Amino acid sequence: MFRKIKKENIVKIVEILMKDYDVLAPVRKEERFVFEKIKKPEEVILDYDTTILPPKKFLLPPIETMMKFDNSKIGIPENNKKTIFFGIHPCDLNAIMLLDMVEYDDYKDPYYIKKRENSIFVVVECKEAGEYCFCESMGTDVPKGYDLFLTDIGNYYFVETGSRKGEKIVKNKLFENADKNEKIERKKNFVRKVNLENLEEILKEKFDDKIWEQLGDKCLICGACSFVCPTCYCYSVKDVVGLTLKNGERNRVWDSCQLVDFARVAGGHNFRGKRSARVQQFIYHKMLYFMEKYSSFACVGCGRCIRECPVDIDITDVTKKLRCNGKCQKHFPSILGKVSDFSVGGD
Amino acid sequence: MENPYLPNLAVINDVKELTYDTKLFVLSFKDKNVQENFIYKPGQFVEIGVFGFGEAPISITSSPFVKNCFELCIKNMGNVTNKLHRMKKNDNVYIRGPYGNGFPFDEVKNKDVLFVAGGIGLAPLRGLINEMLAHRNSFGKIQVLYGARTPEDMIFTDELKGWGEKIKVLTIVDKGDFRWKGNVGVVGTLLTNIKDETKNTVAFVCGPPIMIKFVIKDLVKLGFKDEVIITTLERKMQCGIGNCGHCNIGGKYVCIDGPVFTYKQIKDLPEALE
Repeated sequence: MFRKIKKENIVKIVEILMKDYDVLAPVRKEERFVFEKIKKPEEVILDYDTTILPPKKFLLPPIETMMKFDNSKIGIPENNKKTIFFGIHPCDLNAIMLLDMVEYDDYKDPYYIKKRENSIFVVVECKEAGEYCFCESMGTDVPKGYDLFLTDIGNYYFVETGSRKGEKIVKNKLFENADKNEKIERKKNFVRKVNLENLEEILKEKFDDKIWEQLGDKCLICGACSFVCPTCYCYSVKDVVGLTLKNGERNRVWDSCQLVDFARVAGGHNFRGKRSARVQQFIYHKMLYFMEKYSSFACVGCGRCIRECPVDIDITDVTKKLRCNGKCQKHFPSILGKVSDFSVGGD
Repeated sequence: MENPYLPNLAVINDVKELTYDTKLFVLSFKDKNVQENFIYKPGQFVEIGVFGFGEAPISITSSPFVKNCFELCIKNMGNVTNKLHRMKKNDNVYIRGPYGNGFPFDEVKNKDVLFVAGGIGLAPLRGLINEMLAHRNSFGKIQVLYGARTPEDMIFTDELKGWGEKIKVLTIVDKGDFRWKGNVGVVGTLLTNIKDETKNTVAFVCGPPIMIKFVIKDLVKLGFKDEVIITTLERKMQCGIGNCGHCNIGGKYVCIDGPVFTYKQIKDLPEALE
């Protein structure tokens, strides 16, 4: 059974949902869009391009308190808030499905899972391909794991349900019955594409290719690519102590394999001291290592890493150049000359 | 839902100074049930923590036959270990674990065993050596080669002497002093003493990354097959449970897929032997 909802009624349904849930939705932030907990239903904008940070930030927050300690007593913060991700793009929900593989693995991550299981996902289809998007190549333009899936069909949103939770929501009178044929399938034009054919074999073969040195020279090791990535999940644990030194909290904060200290151990040895090795780690983890462990690419083609890179490193471009077999010497000109000549943190 | 990050309170029963920068901590859990259920294999590690300072992954150096307590050999290297070195008997610490796969034991029974240890790399092997000596009849010839930077850097010197009465133990230092009458050089040079059959021998190698790299090369030259060279990989670790990403190499996480690997497993793994 299919349903539809008048566009003008979106505000009303959001208002109703706000009574029971924290509604997280895309809102305008200057020229761009961000996912935020909304205060008013009118803030929601469903026709938007990629948000600055992925909605992952609510499930794996940039800083998360794991436990509080007070005179040796440990307390675990409780979080029972019900949330609804209203208007999440297919790529970003696909990314959460990938994070599930990690967080529900052998040692289940209680912080993520608690939030995940209290969440409802309302996907909205993108009307056109963004400048940096390549989700079609990754097969992540098709939504998976949604509770509701909205498609713009003019004056209405066509609504597909994917779960019991979703079915419950569309029982509301604001939703009308719809016919299957009312759905509009949009053909989108993607500027960026990735050829996945034999990509794993190519990456294995090209591990020592000079392309990585060239990328290393260009990269500024700012870590922006991984901080905006919807599938990056690495973190560091930091203890924060109160003034009495008796109480405090243990937090985990986002970390990035691009940063110089990421693989440095006590005593100073750095297992990934070379800049090129770190750039390589980002691309290999997305396109090869995750595949080896979880049988899936860890990239959903949202294009955020391309958009935010200050020196225009483009993962789609890198994969293309890996296929050009040695004719790539002049690629990746560095804007600062050979950056590795500068001493940055000893690398 | 169980929280794997939640540590258990443990008390320091004793602290022994092994060298100027390395101490042996004897620990037991406050909760008797936790202590009884703390079952580990040599080669596994724990996350030892002090609130306000953080946690550090440290391999367990005692053998499973030791009951009611366990031991960690800790070198003063970083933030957490520095704090631990300033702690005393009866102080409290927090422990999570045991984590990692541990060394094979039953799998190598009836074989000759060669241990090659460098520096603090003897600590994880010590638990295995003592466990094997406790089951002496189950193993063939056991030999220990141990190298340290200087005579002052040697850990478990009393135990090395004790082992020397039962099995062949050879020691070497990178740099001797006026009292040192023994071998001088890197630990790999002791392998020239291993001329016997290598066919039925399993080699356990543990030490700093550079030492492991060269010792493995030497062992391969001596005719050891890739699958009987067993080593450990060191990496930065925070969670210990395959989540934080720091110890990732290739499709593996050193904390859960290791830290013990055969050379066969890591030979073609990118970055493994950096």
